[in-house]
Amino acid sequence: MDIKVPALAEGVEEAVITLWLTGEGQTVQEGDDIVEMSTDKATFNMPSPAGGILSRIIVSEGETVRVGQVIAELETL
Amino acid sequence: MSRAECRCTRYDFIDLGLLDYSAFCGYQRDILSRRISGNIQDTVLLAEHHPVITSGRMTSKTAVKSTSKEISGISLVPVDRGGGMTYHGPGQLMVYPVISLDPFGRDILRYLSFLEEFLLDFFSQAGCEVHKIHGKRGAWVNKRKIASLGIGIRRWVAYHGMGLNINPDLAPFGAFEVCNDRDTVMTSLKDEGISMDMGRARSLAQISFMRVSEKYSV
Repeated sequence: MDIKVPALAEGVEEAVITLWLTGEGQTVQEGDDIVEMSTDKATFNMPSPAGGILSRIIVSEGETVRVGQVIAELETL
Repeated sequence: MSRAECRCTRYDFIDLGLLDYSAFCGYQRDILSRRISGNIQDTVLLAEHHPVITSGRMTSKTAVKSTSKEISGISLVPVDRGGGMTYHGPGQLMVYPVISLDPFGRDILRYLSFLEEFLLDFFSQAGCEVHKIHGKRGAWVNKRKIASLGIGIRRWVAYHGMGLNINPDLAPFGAFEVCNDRDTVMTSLKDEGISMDMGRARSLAQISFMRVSEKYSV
């Protein structure tokens, strides 16, 4: 399953990946925080959309991402 | 830590008094966790801190050396909120709403606008006309910044919040790049010629917060 950047607000198209809270190969439950993103004045912890193993991190910390962009892959259980 | 609670219909206001930032962070984590789990309703924490400089996640690399643990003798603490670097100290009223963003349609910009409306209302009630500046968050008196904001969001519950300069020592702001803007000049109610004690500021903050939340229908 692709992990995509969610809509954060109307008019907000970009965010920065500031902290991966889950590493590659780690198991997560649905709803577990997996990555922290930041806009100018807000940080946002993105929950996992499903349970599984975070099989691949595509975007590194410090990189800017757009809404809808795939940032990781989740191998669902 | 002094602690006084005001239970209103929409929010619980908890006054933490003057406390260390690290102690506050632990308290806020607990409140956030309980709000996420639905065990408590929306809660607004009020506090003052002993002098501390905090750096948000978006602090520019030029703000200060990344290895610094203090600036001009004041501890530097990295925090999990948006925004850049700022100073907190006695005389600055911190307002930390730990509230669900569901009534805001889970729209972060709408929530930030709500916080700015609160700032405008608060300072207007205090007799100080402040305004917003396009492209810059916070509240301003002409080009002087009187209040800052930066938030975190977990499971669509917001935490961290705003610093309102009532009568703090503004000198520490001069030791670093405030909120990633090297041209920022800080001010306070006191520097704008308005005297207000912190007890009155706390009361006014609760009244303004309730009024603006009704205006936003949240």
